[in-house]
Amino acid sequence: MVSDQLIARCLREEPKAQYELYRLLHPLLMGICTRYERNRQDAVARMNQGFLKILTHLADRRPEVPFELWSRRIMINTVIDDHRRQKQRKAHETLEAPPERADLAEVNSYLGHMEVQELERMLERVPAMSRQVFNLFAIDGFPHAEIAGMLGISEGTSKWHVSNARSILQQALARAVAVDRARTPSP
Amino acid sequence: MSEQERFDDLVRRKLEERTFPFAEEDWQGAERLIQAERTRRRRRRFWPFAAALLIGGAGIAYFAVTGKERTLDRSTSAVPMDRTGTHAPLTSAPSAADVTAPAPVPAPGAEATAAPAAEVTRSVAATPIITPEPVSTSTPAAATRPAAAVSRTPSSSLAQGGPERRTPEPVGRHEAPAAPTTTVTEPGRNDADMARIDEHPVTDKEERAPARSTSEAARATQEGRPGTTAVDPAMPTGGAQVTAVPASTMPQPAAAPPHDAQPVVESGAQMLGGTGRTLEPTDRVDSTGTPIEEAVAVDSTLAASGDTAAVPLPLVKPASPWELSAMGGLLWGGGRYSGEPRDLWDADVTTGMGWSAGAEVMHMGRNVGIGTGVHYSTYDERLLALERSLTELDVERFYFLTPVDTTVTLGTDTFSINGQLFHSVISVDTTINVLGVGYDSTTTVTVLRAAREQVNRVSYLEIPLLLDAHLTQGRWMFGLRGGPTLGVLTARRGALPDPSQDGYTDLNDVQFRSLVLGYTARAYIRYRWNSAWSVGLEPVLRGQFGNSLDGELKRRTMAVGVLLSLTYRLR
Repeated sequence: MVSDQLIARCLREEPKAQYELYRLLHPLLMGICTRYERNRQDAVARMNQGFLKILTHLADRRPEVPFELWSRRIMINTVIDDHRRQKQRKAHETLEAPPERADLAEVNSYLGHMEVQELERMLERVPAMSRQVFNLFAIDGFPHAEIAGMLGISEGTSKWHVSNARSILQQALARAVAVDRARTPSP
Repeated sequence: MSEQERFDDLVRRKLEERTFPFAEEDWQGAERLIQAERTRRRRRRFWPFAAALLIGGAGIAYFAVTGKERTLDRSTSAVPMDRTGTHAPLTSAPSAADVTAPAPVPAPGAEATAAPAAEVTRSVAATPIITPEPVSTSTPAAATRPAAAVSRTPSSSLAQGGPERRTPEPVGRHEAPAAPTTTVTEPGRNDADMARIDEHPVTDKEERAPARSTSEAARATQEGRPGTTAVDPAMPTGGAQVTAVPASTMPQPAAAPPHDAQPVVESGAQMLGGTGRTLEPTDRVDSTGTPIEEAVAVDSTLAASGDTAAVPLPLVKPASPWELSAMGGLLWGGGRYSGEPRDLWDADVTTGMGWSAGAEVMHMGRNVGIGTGVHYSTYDERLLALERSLTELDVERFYFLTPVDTTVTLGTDTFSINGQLFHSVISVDTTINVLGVGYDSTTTVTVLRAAREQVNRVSYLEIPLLLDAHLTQGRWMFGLRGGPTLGVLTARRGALPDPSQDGYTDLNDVQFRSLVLGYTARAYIRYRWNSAWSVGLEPVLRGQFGNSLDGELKRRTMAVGVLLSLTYRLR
């Protein structure tokens, strides 16, 4: 929990306070960045950019907005802005049909007890744009209309990316279920 | 909750289980960024300060230099030189206060043709000077009058206008003299000589002679040579129809000029209090009676040199060095963009036509000038962007039945004849449906960015530090003027393609720097139709030194144009 006193000290640009704030926000910001970036190095670089934005816009924050929520939004915006800048999309992009869906009940069951690192690895395999949209929609809770506005795509495209990401994840999970089942001797 | 939503929720929860141990090297990276941002902010604050300092410093330096030159002019020209080249002692000086030259009251029968002096206020800050001759207070300072006349030659800067006749001032006197009783003239020069001088138009070379004669007159006054006649050198003017007037007929001031000068020490030898030194006739004293070692004449309007002592120039205030200009015109140019986002635009930005208007105030010297002003400039550019679209292909699998006409052979019976087994069949022509798999593909073309052709406009209020170099040829003036500018962003309108090629970013959302250093340079030709007003045509080049945007996209503004100007020279 970030105290108002700490924020006030950060507004006075006290290095110690900035360090304290960084420590407090580190898990939150890192959690966001690792979801959007492919490796830790990129995630740290993006997190530091976001933290700088938080510091420089600290004075603009409305006091009624919870600090963590505000920081989270700034961090997501930083990541999205960066992706928009880096994105070199072809003029005519052909999007393939989403892969076949796996058995969801089994997948969900497996998801409940699997290792988080394994899920991270699976997420890395999802194409960047689809992963980004899936993150925004499924994890960060943005509606499709807002995602479309943020990324400059249509709502339909946003839905497609979510569906695509889900399918890829679910297929990967289904394979993992099958492997798991093969390893486990049937009673 | 559907299975899909449950899946999303499970993924979210699973991801929330992650932990990220804090690493000091992560903070070091953030610290570096914070430090860099701090430096950038400091630099951003420094530039306006530096520009203000530059403008202020240049102004102060300019006025310091030109002011010093003017002071030197005064101090060297105010002290007449004698034959040996040394400063002749001043025998009289105007009062310390501003002195209004009294209007001359022509003596009866006076034939001086010079017009009576107009009211001329002169700034005089001289010290009283001891006259060598004891002068009776009851009579006008006839003996000292020539000396006063010598030192009160008009300034050479008063070079315009009609001739002016001035009457000599009684030095250190507050009451008007009734009439001169004694006149002093220059040794070796009689009225005829003076008349000859007066009739002859004075040239630069010839100015030296009367200068010497006035010095001599001053010396004669100091020495107290009798029988000399005072000739007011201020009366004749170069080329003016002025006849030498006998001292007895010279016009006298109607009233003594009011001034706060210390009374003249009229004794040739006077003991200085406390010093034990005797005042010499050439000594001057200040208000406390202390002798002043060097003559300092700072009469700006009188600024009389020994050279021009006999050539009193007309008393017309010189033209002011200040001029005001207003200008307006068209600019062709705009912003040039670079950087990585620009490469992703797939759009062209070409020059547009903007406009500029402004006002300037300049301190103009003979060939150079300095000044400042305010320019309002709009930099326009034309954006040409092609349409960008995204094509989505949605493929769906479906199943269908295909009817196939065929003949089916049906076995109806089996029987045995002589031990052999036979099958009884019939052929039936029928149609069967064959199950097939098909794919429906839906292609959706989403227009990401509509084609656009529009004019972007960015406006700045620019404050320049202007340096000017010019030449004047009759009514024509040719010059170059330019210098650094400090541009303040005032408005922007338009849009830029989004780097992701799927839309446009409003120019108001692009991060422009509010202050930008720039430059302006222009050549001008002006025609002066009277002493104050002139019109000019001025090709101009304007731009900004660096990037006017924050971020990866860079913009550098430049424009050329033509301005029409109207200039008023203060008088």
